[in-house]
Amino acid sequence: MNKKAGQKVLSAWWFFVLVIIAGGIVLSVLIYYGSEINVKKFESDVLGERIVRCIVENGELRADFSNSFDVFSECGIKKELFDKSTDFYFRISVFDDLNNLEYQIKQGDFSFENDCFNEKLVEARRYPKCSEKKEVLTLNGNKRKIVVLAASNQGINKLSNI
Amino acid sequence: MIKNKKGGTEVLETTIFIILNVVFVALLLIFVYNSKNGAIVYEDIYAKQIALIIDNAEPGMVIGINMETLLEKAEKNGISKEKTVSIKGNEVIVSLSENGGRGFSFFSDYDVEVNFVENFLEIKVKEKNE
Repeated sequence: MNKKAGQKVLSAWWFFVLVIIAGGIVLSVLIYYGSEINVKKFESDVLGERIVRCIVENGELRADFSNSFDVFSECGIKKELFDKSTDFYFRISVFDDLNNLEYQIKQGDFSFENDCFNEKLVEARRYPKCSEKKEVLTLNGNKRKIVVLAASNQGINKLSNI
Repeated sequence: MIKNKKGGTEVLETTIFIILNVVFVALLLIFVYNSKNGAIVYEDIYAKQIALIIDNAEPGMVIGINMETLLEKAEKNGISKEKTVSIKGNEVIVSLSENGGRGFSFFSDYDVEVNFVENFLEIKVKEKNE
């Protein structure tokens, strides 16, 4: 009698353990496959590379580059995506041969600049990922250094009934 | 006789117990396998891959991507090839179910066309209003 009661308790306990294990596995799988693949770093790299390719011609800074240079139309980048509350940011800085800032163009969410700095200190999922490209080149025979900082914080857009 | 009956009940109980455990493990394995092959993962991967390829492309380029795996999933879910990938504005939308899909924006300001050539997705990047 006691043995049978013991078996019943054991099987009830056993199924409780199974439910806990199943819950753990289901939760882990849902978290793992539910989380999106993070490509922010690649995207910021592509954006930075795109800007560098656009403003540098034959190893020289484009002669028409200035603070009024229209990056969007010249580099084929969609302006609307860099308006307020955007997921993108870039900053182009040009330094002369004495390392003084000569030109600077910034577009997108300016707060990303701080986040890019913080990104090096702490790891956070929702932070943007940044990419910095540095090139030393010439402009009319004078040395110029360009620094392009690009950042992306774009996530996947979940759509229902498209 | 009574002993035999008791023994028979114990065997039956043990058998049921083992069957239930096997069913439980099988259900878990099916769940994990289905999650691994789930549409969400593929929608995410392909939407981002296509958007990043477009961002890297220059006008005049035609790029082909092998979409065999995605098309297999779409066929299983009863989605036609043409409905799986589309471009709306600056967003690549990949859909592997009737319930929706996943979109990812590209920042290129070029005209982009996508169409399937057998199992390959052909992406044509052109200057605006070319």
